[in-house]
Amino acid sequence: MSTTGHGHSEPGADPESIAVGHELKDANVGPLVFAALGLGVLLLVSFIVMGVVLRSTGNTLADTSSDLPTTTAMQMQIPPSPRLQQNAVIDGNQIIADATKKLAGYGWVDQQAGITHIPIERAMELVVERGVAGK
Amino acid sequence: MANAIPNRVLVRLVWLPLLLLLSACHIDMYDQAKYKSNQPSDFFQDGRAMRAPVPNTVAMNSFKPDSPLATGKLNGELVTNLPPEITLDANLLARGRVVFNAYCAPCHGLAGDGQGVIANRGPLVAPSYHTDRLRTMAIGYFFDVATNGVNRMYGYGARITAEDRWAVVAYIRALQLSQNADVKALPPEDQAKVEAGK
Amino acid sequence: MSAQIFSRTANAYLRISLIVITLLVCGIIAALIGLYLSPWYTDAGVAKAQPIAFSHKHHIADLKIDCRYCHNTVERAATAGFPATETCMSCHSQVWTTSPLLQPVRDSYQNNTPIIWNRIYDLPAFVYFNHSIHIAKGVGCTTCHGQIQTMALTAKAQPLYMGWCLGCHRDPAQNIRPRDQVFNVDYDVLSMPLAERQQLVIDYQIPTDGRLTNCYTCHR
Repeated sequence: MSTTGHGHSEPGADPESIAVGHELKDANVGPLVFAALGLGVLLLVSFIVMGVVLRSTGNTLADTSSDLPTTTAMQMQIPPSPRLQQNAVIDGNQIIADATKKLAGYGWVDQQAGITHIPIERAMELVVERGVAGK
Repeated sequence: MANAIPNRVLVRLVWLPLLLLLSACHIDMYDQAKYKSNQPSDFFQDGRAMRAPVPNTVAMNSFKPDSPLATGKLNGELVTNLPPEITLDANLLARGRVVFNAYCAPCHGLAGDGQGVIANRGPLVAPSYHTDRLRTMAIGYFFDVATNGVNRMYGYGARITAEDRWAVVAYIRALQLSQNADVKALPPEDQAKVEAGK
Repeated sequence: MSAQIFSRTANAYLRISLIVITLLVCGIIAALIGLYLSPWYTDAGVAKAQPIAFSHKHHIADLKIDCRYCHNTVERAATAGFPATETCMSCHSQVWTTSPLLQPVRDSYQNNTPIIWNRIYDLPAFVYFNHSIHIAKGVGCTTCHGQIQTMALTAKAQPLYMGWCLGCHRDPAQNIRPRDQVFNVDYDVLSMPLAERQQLVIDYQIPTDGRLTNCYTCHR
Protein backbone atom coordinates (compact mmCIF):
# COMPACT_ATOMS: atom_id res chain seq x y z
CA MET A 1 0.00 0.00 0.00
CA SER A 2 1.26 3.43 -0.86
CA THR A 3 0.09 4.89 2.48
CA THR A 4 2.89 3.21 4.35
CA GLY A 5 5.59 4.79 2.16
CA HIS A 6 5.79 8.47 1.31
CA GLY A 7 2.60 9.89 2.83
CA HIS A 8 0.62 9.71 -0.43
CA SER A 9 -2.59 8.99 1.41
CA GLU A 10 -5.74 7.92 -0.40
CA PRO A 11 -7.82 11.03 -1.04
CA GLY A 12 -10.44 11.53 1.67
CA ALA A 13 -9.08 8.92 4.04
CA ASP A 14 -7.09 10.15 7.00
CA PRO A 15 -4.14 8.15 8.31
CA GLU A 16 -5.87 7.46 11.62
CA SER A 17 -8.80 5.70 9.96
CA ILE A 18 -6.47 3.71 7.78
CA ALA A 19 -4.49 2.64 10.78
CA VAL A 20 -7.61 1.52 12.66
CA GLY A 21 -9.09 -0.14 9.57
CA HIS A 22 -12.45 1.67 9.56
CA GLU A 23 -13.67 5.25 9.30
CA LEU A 24 -13.62 7.16 12.55
CA LYS A 25 -15.48 10.25 11.27
CA ASP A 26 -19.27 10.09 10.87
CA ALA A 27 -21.17 11.56 7.92
CA ASN A 28 -22.30 15.17 8.29
CA VAL A 29 -26.09 14.79 8.61
CA GLY A 30 -27.04 18.46 8.51
CA PRO A 31 -26.61 19.15 4.74
CA LEU A 32 -28.25 15.86 3.81
CA VAL A 33 -31.40 16.59 5.78
CA PHE A 34 -31.42 20.12 4.41
CA ALA A 35 -31.19 18.86 0.82
CA ALA A 36 -34.00 16.34 1.35
CA LEU A 37 -36.28 18.95 2.91
CA GLY A 38 -35.42 21.34 0.10
CA LEU A 39 -36.46 18.74 -2.51
CA GLY A 40 -39.78 18.18 -0.76
CA VAL A 41 -40.45 21.91 -0.59
CA LEU A 42 -39.52 22.32 -4.28
CA LEU A 43 -41.97 19.53 -5.21
CA LEU A 44 -44.77 21.18 -3.25
CA VAL A 45 -44.03 24.59 -4.77
CA SER A 46 -44.03 23.16 -8.31
CA PHE A 47 -47.40 21.44 -7.72
CA ILE A 48 -48.81 24.72 -6.48
CA VAL A 49 -47.40 26.62 -9.47
CA MET A 50 -48.76 24.03 -11.91
CA GLY A 51 -52.15 24.19 -10.24
CA VAL A 52 -52.18 27.98 -10.46
CA VAL A 53 -51.12 27.95 -14.12
CA LEU A 54 -53.71 25.32 -15.11
CA ARG A 55 -56.43 27.15 -13.20
CA SER A 56 -55.55 30.50 -14.69
CA THR A 57 -55.67 29.10 -18.28
CA GLY A 58 -58.97 27.31 -17.61
CA ASN A 59 -57.68 23.84 -18.55
CA THR A 60 -57.63 20.59 -16.65
CA LEU A 61 -55.08 17.80 -16.83
CA ALA A 62 -57.59 15.47 -18.42
CA ASP A 63 -58.37 17.88 -21.21
CA THR A 64 -57.62 16.39 -24.66
CA SER A 65 -59.18 19.08 -26.80
CA SER A 66 -55.87 20.08 -28.33
CA ASP A 67 -54.95 16.46 -29.31
CA LEU A 68 -55.09 15.46 -32.97
CA PRO A 69 -58.00 13.17 -33.86
CA THR A 70 -56.89 9.57 -34.21
CA THR A 71 -57.53 9.35 -37.93
CA THR A 72 -55.52 12.49 -38.64
CA ALA A 73 -52.69 11.25 -36.48
CA MET A 74 -52.79 7.95 -38.38
CA GLN A 75 -52.68 9.72 -41.69
CA MET A 76 -49.71 11.75 -40.57
CA GLN A 77 -47.83 8.58 -39.66
CA ILE A 78 -48.74 6.54 -42.76
CA PRO A 79 -47.50 8.06 -46.00
CA PRO A 80 -50.05 8.44 -48.81
CA SER A 81 -50.77 5.47 -51.08
CA PRO A 82 -49.55 3.65 -53.07
CA ARG A 83 -47.57 2.24 -50.19
CA LEU A 84 -45.24 -0.68 -49.82
CA GLN A 85 -47.08 -3.79 -48.82
CA GLN A 86 -46.81 -4.26 -45.07
CA ASN A 87 -47.86 -7.87 -44.78
CA ALA A 88 -48.50 -9.82 -47.94
CA VAL A 89 -49.95 -12.80 -46.09
CA ILE A 90 -52.65 -10.73 -44.41
CA ASP A 91 -53.51 -8.95 -47.67
CA GLY A 92 -53.69 -12.25 -49.52
CA ASN A 93 -55.87 -13.83 -46.85
CA GLN A 94 -58.16 -10.81 -46.98
CA ILE A 95 -58.59 -11.07 -50.76
CA ILE A 96 -59.35 -14.78 -50.50
CA ALA A 97 -61.82 -14.18 -47.67
CA ASP A 98 -63.58 -11.39 -49.59
CA ALA A 99 -63.93 -13.53 -52.71
CA THR A 100 -65.14 -16.53 -50.71
CA LYS A 101 -67.75 -14.34 -49.05
CA LYS A 102 -68.91 -13.10 -52.44
CA LEU A 103 -69.56 -16.66 -53.55
CA ALA A 104 -71.60 -17.58 -50.48
CA GLY A 105 -75.17 -16.69 -49.61
CA TYR A 106 -78.10 -15.03 -51.28
CA GLY A 107 -78.60 -11.31 -51.63
CA TRP A 108 -79.53 -8.46 -53.88
CA VAL A 109 -77.13 -6.99 -56.39
CA ASP A 110 -79.69 -4.62 -57.84
CA GLN A 111 -83.15 -4.97 -56.36
CA GLN A 112 -84.71 -2.54 -58.87
CA ALA A 113 -83.55 -4.62 -61.82
CA GLY A 114 -84.23 -7.90 -60.02
CA ILE A 115 -80.58 -8.97 -60.07
CA THR A 116 -79.38 -11.16 -57.22
CA HIS A 117 -76.32 -13.11 -56.23
CA ILE A 118 -76.66 -16.74 -55.23
CA PRO A 119 -74.21 -19.23 -53.69
CA ILE A 120 -71.78 -20.73 -56.17
CA GLU A 121 -72.84 -24.29 -55.30
CA ARG A 122 -76.43 -23.44 -56.22
CA ALA A 123 -75.28 -21.67 -59.38
CA MET A 124 -73.38 -24.81 -60.39
CA GLU A 125 -76.56 -26.87 -59.98
CA LEU A 126 -78.52 -24.36 -62.04
CA VAL A 127 -75.90 -24.32 -64.79
CA VAL A 128 -76.20 -28.11 -65.04
CA GLU A 129 -79.95 -27.60 -65.60
CA ARG A 130 -79.75 -24.60 -67.89
CA GLY A 131 -76.62 -25.33 -69.93
CA VAL A 132 -73.70 -23.11 -70.72
CA ALA A 133 -75.12 -21.02 -73.55
CA GLY A 134 -75.01 -17.89 -71.41
CA LYS A 135 -77.65 -15.21 -71.19
CA MET B 1 1.75 -66.10 -19.83
CA ALA B 2 -0.55 -68.78 -21.25
CA ASN B 3 -3.61 -66.45 -21.51
CA ALA B 4 -1.57 -63.66 -23.05
CA ILE B 5 -1.35 -65.42 -26.40
CA PRO B 6 -5.07 -65.36 -27.36
CA ASN B 7 -5.20 -61.75 -26.13
CA ARG B 8 -2.39 -60.81 -28.45
CA VAL B 9 -4.16 -62.43 -31.38
CA LEU B 10 -7.31 -60.53 -30.47
CA VAL B 11 -5.46 -57.25 -30.38
CA ARG B 12 -4.30 -57.85 -33.91
CA LEU B 13 -7.77 -58.82 -35.17
CA VAL B 14 -9.52 -55.92 -33.53
CA TRP B 15 -8.17 -53.53 -36.16
CA LEU B 16 -9.74 -55.47 -39.01
CA PRO B 17 -13.21 -53.79 -38.92
CA LEU B 18 -11.48 -50.47 -39.52
CA LEU B 19 -10.69 -51.77 -43.01
CA LEU B 20 -14.37 -51.15 -43.75
CA LEU B 21 -13.49 -47.49 -43.86
CA LEU B 22 -11.39 -48.16 -46.93
CA SER B 23 -14.35 -49.47 -48.89
CA ALA B 24 -16.14 -47.19 -51.34
CA CYS B 25 -19.73 -46.94 -52.52
CA HIS B 26 -20.81 -47.66 -56.03
CA ILE B 27 -23.00 -44.97 -57.52
CA ASP B 28 -23.35 -46.50 -60.96
CA MET B 29 -26.76 -47.87 -59.99
CA TYR B 30 -27.84 -44.51 -58.61
CA ASP B 31 -26.88 -42.63 -61.73
CA GLN B 32 -27.59 -44.99 -64.57
CA ALA B 33 -26.80 -44.29 -68.19
CA LYS B 34 -30.36 -43.36 -69.02
CA TYR B 35 -32.48 -40.24 -68.97
CA LYS B 36 -35.44 -39.55 -66.79
CA SER B 37 -37.63 -36.49 -67.25
CA ASN B 38 -36.14 -33.04 -66.80
CA GLN B 39 -32.59 -34.32 -66.75
CA PRO B 40 -29.80 -32.42 -68.42
CA SER B 41 -27.99 -34.11 -71.28
CA ASP B 42 -24.47 -33.80 -72.60
CA PHE B 43 -25.42 -35.77 -75.69
CA PHE B 44 -27.87 -33.33 -77.23
CA GLN B 45 -26.52 -29.99 -78.26
CA ASP B 46 -29.08 -27.88 -76.43
CA GLY B 47 -28.43 -29.74 -73.17
CA ARG B 48 -31.98 -31.09 -72.82
CA ALA B 49 -32.80 -34.75 -72.37
CA MET B 50 -36.48 -33.99 -73.01
CA ARG B 51 -36.70 -33.18 -76.70
CA ALA B 52 -38.70 -30.33 -78.11
CA PRO B 53 -40.67 -31.16 -81.28
CA VAL B 54 -38.79 -30.65 -84.50
CA PRO B 55 -39.74 -27.25 -85.99
CA ASN B 56 -42.92 -27.28 -88.09
CA THR B 57 -44.07 -30.60 -86.71
CA VAL B 58 -46.69 -31.60 -84.16
CA ALA B 59 -47.09 -34.70 -82.04
CA MET B 60 -49.41 -37.31 -83.47
CA ASN B 61 -53.08 -36.77 -82.58
CA SER B 62 -52.33 -33.42 -80.99
CA PHE B 63 -53.22 -31.22 -83.98
CA LYS B 64 -56.94 -31.14 -84.53
CA PRO B 65 -57.84 -27.81 -86.09
CA ASP B 66 -61.35 -29.04 -86.95
CA SER B 67 -62.23 -30.42 -83.53
CA PRO B 68 -64.39 -28.24 -81.28
CA LEU B 69 -62.95 -30.16 -78.32
CA ALA B 70 -59.45 -28.89 -79.09
CA THR B 71 -60.22 -25.44 -80.46
CA GLY B 72 -63.59 -24.30 -79.17
CA LYS B 73 -64.57 -23.57 -82.77
CA LEU B 74 -66.74 -25.36 -85.29
CA ASN B 75 -66.24 -24.40 -88.94
CA GLY B 76 -64.40 -21.29 -87.78
CA GLU B 77 -67.27 -20.13 -85.56
CA LEU B 78 -67.02 -20.10 -81.76
CA VAL B 79 -69.18 -22.86 -80.35
CA THR B 80 -72.06 -21.89 -78.08
CA ASN B 81 -72.27 -25.21 -76.34
CA LEU B 82 -69.93 -27.84 -74.97
CA PRO B 83 -68.44 -30.24 -77.52
CA PRO B 84 -70.12 -33.66 -77.66
CA GLU B 85 -67.18 -35.32 -75.86
CA ILE B 86 -67.86 -33.25 -72.73
CA THR B 87 -70.89 -33.97 -70.55
CA LEU B 88 -72.25 -31.12 -68.49
CA ASP B 89 -72.81 -32.49 -65.00
CA ALA B 90 -71.97 -31.78 -61.38
CA ASN B 91 -68.62 -33.58 -61.68
CA LEU B 92 -67.55 -31.41 -64.58
CA LEU B 93 -68.34 -28.23 -62.69
CA ALA B 94 -66.68 -29.49 -59.52
CA ARG B 95 -63.54 -30.25 -61.51
CA GLY B 96 -63.86 -26.88 -63.21
CA ARG B 97 -63.96 -25.19 -59.84
CA VAL B 98 -60.77 -26.91 -58.71
CA VAL B 99 -58.89 -26.10 -61.91
CA PHE B 100 -60.22 -22.55 -62.03
CA ASN B 101 -59.11 -21.91 -58.45
CA ALA B 102 -55.65 -23.27 -59.21
CA TYR B 103 -54.91 -21.68 -62.58
CA CYS B 104 -57.25 -18.73 -63.09
CA ALA B 105 -58.01 -17.39 -59.63
CA PRO B 106 -54.53 -15.94 -58.99
CA CYS B 107 -55.37 -13.16 -61.46
CA HIS B 108 -59.12 -13.37 -62.11
CA GLY B 109 -60.01 -13.89 -58.46
CA LEU B 110 -61.92 -16.74 -56.84
CA ALA B 111 -65.12 -14.90 -57.69
CA GLY B 112 -64.06 -14.12 -61.25
CA ASP B 113 -64.21 -10.40 -60.64
CA GLY B 114 -60.61 -9.66 -61.66
CA GLN B 115 -59.60 -9.13 -58.04
CA GLY B 116 -57.10 -11.95 -57.67
CA VAL B 117 -54.16 -11.79 -55.31
CA ILE B 118 -51.69 -11.31 -58.18
CA ALA B 119 -53.88 -8.72 -59.91
CA ASN B 120 -54.02 -6.86 -56.62
CA ARG B 121 -50.25 -6.55 -56.44
CA GLY B 122 -49.01 -5.65 -59.83
CA PRO B 123 -49.65 -3.58 -62.90
CA LEU B 124 -51.61 -6.56 -64.16
CA VAL B 125 -55.26 -5.91 -65.03
CA ALA B 126 -57.47 -8.98 -65.15
CA PRO B 127 -60.93 -8.37 -66.57
CA SER B 128 -64.03 -9.32 -64.63
CA TYR B 129 -66.31 -12.02 -66.03
CA HIS B 130 -69.27 -10.11 -64.69
CA THR B 131 -69.88 -7.85 -67.65
CA ASP B 132 -72.69 -8.00 -70.17
CA ARG B 133 -70.19 -8.55 -72.96
CA LEU B 134 -68.81 -11.71 -71.38
CA ARG B 135 -72.15 -12.95 -70.04
CA THR B 136 -73.49 -13.13 -73.58
CA MET B 137 -70.21 -14.28 -75.14
CA ALA B 138 -70.18 -17.74 -76.73
CA ILE B 139 -68.63 -20.39 -74.49
CA GLY B 140 -66.10 -21.20 -77.21
CA TYR B 141 -64.57 -17.77 -76.70
CA PHE B 142 -63.60 -18.58 -73.12
CA PHE B 143 -62.12 -21.86 -74.28
CA ASP B 144 -60.18 -20.14 -77.03
CA VAL B 145 -58.79 -17.57 -74.58
CA ALA B 146 -57.90 -20.23 -72.03
CA THR B 147 -56.12 -22.19 -74.75
CA ASN B 148 -54.32 -19.47 -76.69
CA GLY B 149 -54.41 -16.46 -74.41
CA VAL B 150 -55.61 -12.99 -75.26
CA ASN B 151 -54.00 -9.58 -75.01
CA ARG B 152 -51.42 -9.94 -72.25
CA MET B 153 -52.76 -13.23 -70.91
CA TYR B 154 -50.67 -16.24 -71.87
CA GLY B 155 -52.29 -19.36 -73.25
CA TYR B 156 -52.84 -22.31 -70.94
CA GLY B 157 -53.32 -24.89 -73.66
CA ALA B 158 -49.98 -26.48 -72.85
CA ARG B 159 -50.61 -26.57 -69.12
CA ILE B 160 -54.25 -27.62 -68.75
CA THR B 161 -55.77 -30.53 -70.63
CA ALA B 162 -58.60 -29.78 -73.06
CA GLU B 163 -61.11 -31.60 -70.83
CA ASP B 164 -60.09 -29.51 -67.83
CA ARG B 165 -60.28 -26.32 -69.88
CA TRP B 166 -63.84 -27.16 -70.84
CA ALA B 167 -64.59 -27.80 -67.18
CA VAL B 168 -63.18 -24.37 -66.35
CA VAL B 169 -65.23 -22.52 -68.95
CA ALA B 170 -68.38 -24.29 -67.77
CA TYR B 171 -67.54 -23.22 -64.23
CA ILE B 172 -67.10 -19.63 -65.43
CA ARG B 173 -70.76 -19.74 -66.46
CA ALA B 174 -71.61 -20.82 -62.91
CA LEU B 175 -69.56 -17.91 -61.55
CA GLN B 176 -71.38 -15.50 -63.83
CA LEU B 177 -74.76 -16.85 -62.76
CA SER B 178 -73.84 -16.76 -59.10
CA GLN B 179 -73.04 -13.04 -59.23
CA ASN B 180 -75.78 -12.03 -61.63
CA ALA B 181 -78.94 -14.09 -61.39
CA ASP B 182 -82.27 -12.81 -62.64
CA VAL B 183 -84.58 -13.27 -59.67
CA LYS B 184 -87.59 -13.99 -61.88
CA ALA B 185 -85.80 -16.90 -63.53
CA LEU B 186 -84.85 -18.50 -60.21
CA PRO B 187 -86.84 -21.39 -58.72
CA PRO B 188 -89.30 -20.28 -56.01
CA GLU B 189 -87.26 -21.65 -53.11
CA ASP B 190 -84.27 -19.60 -54.23
CA GLN B 191 -86.44 -16.52 -54.59
CA ALA B 192 -87.53 -16.97 -51.01
CA LYS B 193 -83.95 -17.20 -49.86
CA VAL B 194 -83.06 -14.05 -51.78
CA GLU B 195 -85.93 -12.23 -50.08
CA ALA B 196 -84.72 -13.53 -46.73
CA GLY B 197 -81.24 -12.28 -47.62
CA LYS B 198 -79.44 -15.38 -46.47
CA MET C 1 19.12 -65.37 -16.72
CA SER C 2 17.68 -63.85 -19.83
CA ALA C 3 16.04 -60.41 -19.84
CA GLN C 4 12.26 -60.27 -19.67
CA ILE C 5 10.62 -59.30 -22.99
CA PHE C 6 7.55 -57.82 -21.35
CA SER C 7 7.57 -55.53 -18.39
CA ARG C 8 5.42 -56.17 -15.33
CA THR C 9 2.73 -53.76 -16.56
CA ALA C 10 2.43 -55.32 -20.02
CA ASN C 11 -0.70 -57.31 -19.09
CA ALA C 12 -2.45 -54.20 -17.78
CA TYR C 13 -1.58 -52.22 -20.91
CA LEU C 14 -2.89 -55.00 -23.08
CA ARG C 15 -6.23 -55.13 -21.30
CA ILE C 16 -6.62 -51.37 -21.31
CA SER C 17 -5.81 -51.13 -25.00
CA LEU C 18 -8.30 -53.92 -25.75
CA ILE C 19 -11.05 -51.97 -24.05
CA VAL C 20 -10.03 -48.73 -25.73
CA ILE C 21 -9.91 -50.29 -29.18
CA THR C 22 -13.31 -51.92 -28.72
CA LEU C 23 -14.81 -48.64 -27.63
CA LEU C 24 -13.13 -46.88 -30.52
CA VAL C 25 -14.57 -49.30 -33.07
CA CYS C 26 -18.05 -49.02 -31.59
CA GLY C 27 -17.70 -45.25 -31.53
CA ILE C 28 -16.61 -45.08 -35.15
CA ILE C 29 -19.51 -47.26 -36.25
CA ALA C 30 -21.96 -45.17 -34.23
CA ALA C 31 -20.48 -41.99 -35.66
CA LEU C 32 -20.78 -43.33 -39.21
CA ILE C 33 -24.43 -44.23 -38.64
CA GLY C 34 -25.06 -40.79 -37.18
CA LEU C 35 -23.37 -39.22 -40.18
CA TYR C 36 -25.45 -41.35 -42.54
CA LEU C 37 -28.66 -40.11 -40.91
CA SER C 38 -27.58 -36.51 -40.55
CA PRO C 39 -28.49 -33.64 -42.88
CA TRP C 40 -24.78 -33.37 -43.65
CA TYR C 41 -25.17 -36.57 -45.66
CA THR C 42 -28.89 -36.57 -46.55
CA ASP C 43 -29.20 -32.87 -47.41
CA ALA C 44 -32.54 -32.79 -45.58
CA GLY C 45 -33.26 -29.20 -44.64
CA VAL C 46 -30.26 -27.94 -46.59
CA ALA C 47 -31.18 -25.43 -49.29
CA LYS C 48 -29.34 -25.67 -52.58
CA ALA C 49 -28.20 -22.74 -54.65
CA GLN C 50 -30.43 -22.15 -57.66
CA PRO C 51 -29.96 -20.06 -60.79
CA ILE C 52 -32.87 -17.90 -59.63
CA ALA C 53 -33.56 -17.09 -56.00
CA PHE C 54 -37.09 -18.48 -56.22
CA SER C 55 -39.09 -18.34 -52.99
CA HIS C 56 -41.82 -20.94 -52.53
CA LYS C 57 -42.77 -19.08 -49.38
CA HIS C 58 -43.58 -15.90 -51.28
CA HIS C 59 -45.50 -17.58 -54.07
CA ILE C 60 -47.52 -19.87 -51.80
CA ALA C 61 -48.01 -18.07 -48.49
CA ASP C 62 -48.19 -14.51 -49.81
CA LEU C 63 -49.59 -14.95 -53.29
CA LYS C 64 -51.79 -18.03 -52.66
CA ILE C 65 -50.75 -19.69 -55.90
CA ASP C 66 -51.76 -23.33 -56.13
CA CYS C 67 -48.96 -25.92 -56.50
CA ARG C 68 -50.45 -27.00 -59.82
CA TYR C 69 -50.12 -23.59 -61.40
CA CYS C 70 -46.42 -24.29 -61.92
CA HIS C 71 -46.16 -28.06 -61.37
CA ASN C 72 -49.00 -28.69 -63.77
CA THR C 73 -48.35 -32.30 -64.71
CA VAL C 74 -48.46 -33.53 -61.14
CA GLU C 75 -52.02 -34.85 -61.43
CA ARG C 76 -51.51 -36.85 -64.59
CA ALA C 77 -47.81 -37.76 -64.92
CA ALA C 78 -45.05 -39.43 -62.97
CA THR C 79 -43.19 -36.17 -62.61
CA ALA C 80 -44.62 -33.02 -61.10
CA GLY C 81 -42.69 -31.09 -63.72
CA PHE C 82 -40.42 -28.13 -63.51
CA PRO C 83 -42.44 -25.20 -64.78
CA ALA C 84 -41.73 -24.14 -68.33
CA THR C 85 -40.23 -20.68 -68.66
CA GLU C 86 -43.53 -19.68 -70.23
CA THR C 87 -45.21 -20.40 -66.88
CA CYS C 88 -42.90 -17.95 -65.11
CA MET C 89 -43.46 -15.41 -67.87
CA SER C 90 -47.25 -15.69 -67.53
CA CYS C 91 -46.89 -13.29 -64.65
CA HIS C 92 -43.33 -12.02 -64.97
CA SER C 93 -43.88 -10.60 -68.42
CA GLN C 94 -45.89 -8.03 -66.49
CA VAL C 95 -44.69 -8.15 -62.89
CA TRP C 96 -41.06 -7.38 -61.96
CA THR C 97 -40.22 -7.03 -65.64
CA THR C 98 -36.95 -5.25 -65.01
CA SER C 99 -35.77 -7.13 -61.95
CA PRO C 100 -32.16 -8.28 -62.36
CA LEU C 101 -33.04 -11.35 -60.26
CA LEU C 102 -35.28 -12.51 -63.09
CA GLN C 103 -32.79 -11.91 -65.87
CA PRO C 104 -32.17 -15.69 -66.27
CA VAL C 105 -35.91 -16.17 -66.87
CA ARG C 106 -36.03 -13.51 -69.57
CA ASP C 107 -32.86 -14.86 -71.17
CA SER C 108 -34.34 -18.34 -71.17
CA TYR C 109 -37.55 -17.10 -72.77
CA GLN C 110 -35.84 -15.05 -75.44
CA ASN C 111 -33.13 -17.55 -76.35
CA ASN C 112 -35.26 -20.67 -76.01
CA THR C 113 -32.81 -22.22 -73.55
CA PRO C 114 -33.87 -24.09 -70.43
CA ILE C 115 -33.35 -22.76 -66.93
CA ILE C 116 -31.24 -25.42 -65.23
CA TRP C 117 -32.54 -25.80 -61.71
CA ASN C 118 -30.69 -27.87 -59.16
CA ARG C 119 -32.79 -30.87 -58.33
CA ILE C 120 -33.73 -31.03 -54.65
CA TYR C 121 -35.45 -34.42 -54.54
CA ASP C 122 -33.03 -36.56 -56.47
CA LEU C 123 -34.09 -40.19 -56.38
CA PRO C 124 -31.74 -42.97 -57.53
CA ALA C 125 -32.28 -44.03 -61.12
CA PHE C 126 -33.67 -47.39 -59.99
CA VAL C 127 -36.59 -45.81 -58.13
CA TYR C 128 -39.71 -45.11 -60.16
CA PHE C 129 -41.75 -42.66 -58.19
CA ASN C 130 -45.05 -41.55 -59.65
CA HIS C 131 -46.60 -38.31 -58.46
CA SER C 132 -50.01 -38.75 -60.05
CA ILE C 133 -50.93 -41.96 -58.23
CA HIS C 134 -49.99 -40.47 -54.86
CA ILE C 135 -52.08 -37.37 -55.60
CA ALA C 136 -55.00 -39.54 -56.73
CA LYS C 137 -54.85 -41.63 -53.56
CA GLY C 138 -54.88 -38.69 -51.18
CA VAL C 139 -51.23 -38.16 -50.30
CA GLY C 140 -50.68 -34.44 -49.88
CA CYS C 141 -47.79 -32.42 -51.23
CA THR C 142 -46.58 -31.45 -47.77
CA THR C 143 -46.40 -35.07 -46.63
CA CYS C 144 -43.17 -35.50 -48.58
CA HIS C 145 -42.22 -31.94 -49.43
CA GLY C 146 -42.67 -30.53 -45.93
CA GLN C 147 -43.87 -27.07 -45.03
CA ILE C 148 -43.02 -25.73 -48.45
CA GLN C 149 -44.97 -22.54 -47.78
CA THR C 150 -42.36 -21.57 -45.19
CA MET C 151 -39.31 -22.20 -47.39
CA ALA C 152 -37.85 -19.01 -48.78
CA LEU C 153 -35.13 -21.20 -50.25
CA THR C 154 -36.24 -24.69 -51.10
CA ALA C 155 -34.78 -27.65 -49.26
CA LYS C 156 -35.51 -31.33 -48.96
CA ALA C 157 -37.86 -32.03 -46.08
CA GLN C 158 -37.15 -35.76 -45.94
CA PRO C 159 -33.91 -37.74 -46.14
CA LEU C 160 -35.67 -40.07 -48.63
CA TYR C 161 -34.49 -43.31 -47.10
CA MET C 162 -36.30 -46.37 -48.32
CA GLY C 163 -37.48 -47.14 -44.81
CA TRP C 164 -39.40 -43.88 -44.86
CA CYS C 165 -41.13 -44.82 -48.12
CA LEU C 166 -41.97 -48.25 -46.71
CA GLY C 167 -43.36 -46.78 -43.49
CA CYS C 168 -46.17 -45.20 -45.47
CA HIS C 169 -46.57 -48.09 -47.90
CA ARG C 170 -47.05 -50.45 -44.95
CA ASP C 171 -49.56 -48.20 -43.21
CA PRO C 172 -51.01 -45.62 -45.61
CA ALA C 173 -53.55 -44.49 -43.03
CA GLN C 174 -50.95 -42.49 -41.17
CA ASN C 175 -50.39 -40.04 -44.03
CA ILE C 176 -53.61 -40.01 -46.00
CA ARG C 177 -55.93 -37.05 -46.35
CA PRO C 178 -59.13 -36.27 -48.28
CA ARG C 179 -58.50 -35.71 -51.99
CA ASP C 180 -59.74 -32.13 -51.89
CA GLN C 181 -57.06 -31.31 -49.31
CA VAL C 182 -54.11 -32.73 -51.22
CA PHE C 183 -52.90 -29.33 -52.42
CA ASN C 184 -53.75 -27.52 -49.20
CA VAL C 185 -50.36 -26.79 -47.68
CA ASP C 186 -51.86 -25.77 -44.34
CA TYR C 187 -53.75 -29.04 -43.86
CA ASP C 188 -52.71 -31.18 -40.90
CA VAL C 189 -53.04 -34.89 -41.61
CA LEU C 190 -53.54 -35.66 -37.93
CA SER C 191 -56.55 -33.32 -37.75
CA MET C 192 -58.56 -36.26 -39.06
CA PRO C 193 -59.14 -39.10 -36.59
CA LEU C 194 -57.32 -42.34 -37.33
CA ALA C 195 -60.56 -44.26 -37.87
CA GLU C 196 -61.66 -41.85 -40.61
CA ARG C 197 -58.24 -42.03 -42.24
CA GLN C 198 -58.47 -45.81 -42.25
CA GLN C 199 -61.87 -45.45 -43.90
CA LEU C 200 -60.25 -43.21 -46.54
CA VAL C 201 -57.74 -45.95 -47.28
CA ILE C 202 -60.68 -48.26 -47.98
CA ASP C 203 -62.63 -45.64 -49.94
CA TYR C 204 -59.66 -44.79 -52.14
CA GLN C 205 -59.04 -48.51 -52.72
CA ILE C 206 -55.45 -48.43 -51.53
CA PRO C 207 -54.25 -52.03 -51.39
CA THR C 208 -53.32 -53.13 -47.90
CA ASP C 209 -52.64 -56.76 -48.79
CA GLY C 210 -48.88 -56.17 -48.98
CA ARG C 211 -48.77 -55.33 -52.67
CA LEU C 212 -47.50 -51.84 -51.85
CA THR C 213 -44.38 -53.24 -50.25
CA ASN C 214 -43.45 -55.50 -53.14
CA CYS C 215 -40.08 -54.60 -54.63
CA TYR C 216 -41.51 -54.05 -58.08
CA THR C 217 -43.91 -51.41 -56.79
CA CYS C 218 -41.04 -48.94 -56.88
CA HIS C 219 -38.18 -50.82 -58.55
CA ARG C 220 -38.49 -52.12 -62.10
